[in-house]
Amino acid sequence: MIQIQNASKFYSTGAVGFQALNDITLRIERGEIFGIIGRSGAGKSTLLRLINHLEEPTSGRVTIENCEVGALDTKQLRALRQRIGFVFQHFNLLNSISVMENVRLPLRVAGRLAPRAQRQRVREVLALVGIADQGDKYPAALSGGQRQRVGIARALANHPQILLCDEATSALDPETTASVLQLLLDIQRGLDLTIVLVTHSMGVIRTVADRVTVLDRGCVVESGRVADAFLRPRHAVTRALLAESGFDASVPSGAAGHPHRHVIEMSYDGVAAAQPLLTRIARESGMDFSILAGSAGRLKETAFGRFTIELAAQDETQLKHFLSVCDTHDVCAELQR
Amino acid sequence: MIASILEKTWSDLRAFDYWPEIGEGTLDTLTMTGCALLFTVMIGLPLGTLLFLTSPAHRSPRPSFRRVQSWAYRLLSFLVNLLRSVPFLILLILVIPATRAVVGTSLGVRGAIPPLVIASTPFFARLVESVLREVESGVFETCSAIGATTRQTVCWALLPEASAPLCAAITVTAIALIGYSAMAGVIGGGGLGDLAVRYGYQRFDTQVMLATVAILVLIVQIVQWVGDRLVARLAHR
Repeated sequence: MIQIQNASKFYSTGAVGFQALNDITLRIERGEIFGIIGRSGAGKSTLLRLINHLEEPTSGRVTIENCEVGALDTKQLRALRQRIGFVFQHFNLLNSISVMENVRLPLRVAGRLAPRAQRQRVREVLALVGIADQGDKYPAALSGGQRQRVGIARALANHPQILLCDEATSALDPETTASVLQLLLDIQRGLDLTIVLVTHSMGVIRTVADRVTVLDRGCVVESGRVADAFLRPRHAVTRALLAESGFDASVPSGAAGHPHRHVIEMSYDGVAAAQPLLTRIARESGMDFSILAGSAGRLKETAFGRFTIELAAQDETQLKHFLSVCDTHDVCAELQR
Repeated sequence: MIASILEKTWSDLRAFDYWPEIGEGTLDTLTMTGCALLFTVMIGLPLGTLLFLTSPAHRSPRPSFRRVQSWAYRLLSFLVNLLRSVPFLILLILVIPATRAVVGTSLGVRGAIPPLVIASTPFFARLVESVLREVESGVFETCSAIGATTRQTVCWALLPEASAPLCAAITVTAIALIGYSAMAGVIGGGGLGDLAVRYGYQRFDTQVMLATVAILVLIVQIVQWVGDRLVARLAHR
């Protein structure tokens, strides 16, 4: 649905300039929630803004449903932006006009509805985001969470198919963050939206995203299913971001040095996670192991488990046997040492 | 002691027979200031907005447009500075031919309005420019993201967001105009300033001078008070 091909962005400010994005290629499917994560300055907001050309790429191209965004003239680009919702970190509401008028602004800009129908639509979206009774207030009278709901209502007013969220929950406290994320999940399902979401928090990715791309200094360092990034992170930045969110992927030091003891990291998700896997593997392999560390839970709707175990194996054959039993149950087992 | 002073003041006030002139002067001042303010805002608001939109502070989304933009700003900025650097007294005399062409006379209340507008419009336009610069950049980002045209951005977001400080700028301009209008008396403009100069300065009638000054003080206070009230009402913070 959204395709970014070999996109780069170079800012020629200062003496040397700044390479914000370097040869990014991404594909975002219709109806998914796609996360972009990275530290501040990694270029994630710039990448998000390439999609509706709030930032123009220095090279490369952006295509939305076979329509090349860079080839559009000013008028067509405005029409495209009217069909893409954008949610800002700091809400960007106008303080001088009421909540109702804030949400009505994109409808006035699009100019397809009569004022009466515009107000009707505003009431619809305000009800959708759960603040139907706040329309006559001014933004200053609302809490942070309510303001972001207004921001989301405004983004949804024109019936967009795509919603771009730039750190939509970063200015909110944890409880409000959870409720706003739940709102995003609900509207995504209800309206069949494609959501692209920029964040620096793995917690946000874990709660809402289907797929994720990890950015570091303008480059994609890891991209794929959220479960893979969480259970089997390949890049150091991903691991660091996981660790910061209390999702530590490092292997604890077990009974190291013993010749017959092996530390194995097992991870699984999806259908496999519904089974009593650990006991089954122990029974079928006929081998005992102890759990050194681990957790089981949910990533969005996907159940997962990840355990670091210590296995006593007499020889290589036994070890291979154990690993193959894991494999038949769709458990990814990696020998640590 | 105090009683005798009060008594003397009261008898002086009763003996003071310039009230008709002062009443007329006040009315003239209000007319001049009011009309001049109306035209100043009508011309100065778009001019100030244009100054802001072309200024380096506001980057055009279209790179090809930026060159045109920067030249437009230089030209506008030069014209505004030019008008602002001419002392009002000189400007009054310089624009007499233009005044005659526009309102048919260079005398009286009508004759004073064009020079007042010419003098205060650039001043007000600069105020507008600096007020608009203070509007948060998020406003423009939002308008770009929802696909608004520049016109829609200005009319529906930028000006409403700046309404409170714009109102304060109008108040400042109104008070400056009251001051300017007093000078218009020099070329036969009428109004309180004219009265103060003719009676107070030229005929050494201190009472008339003090009375006109007192009324000017009162007018300025009222204008500022009304302006502040409006600003408070417009600021939804």
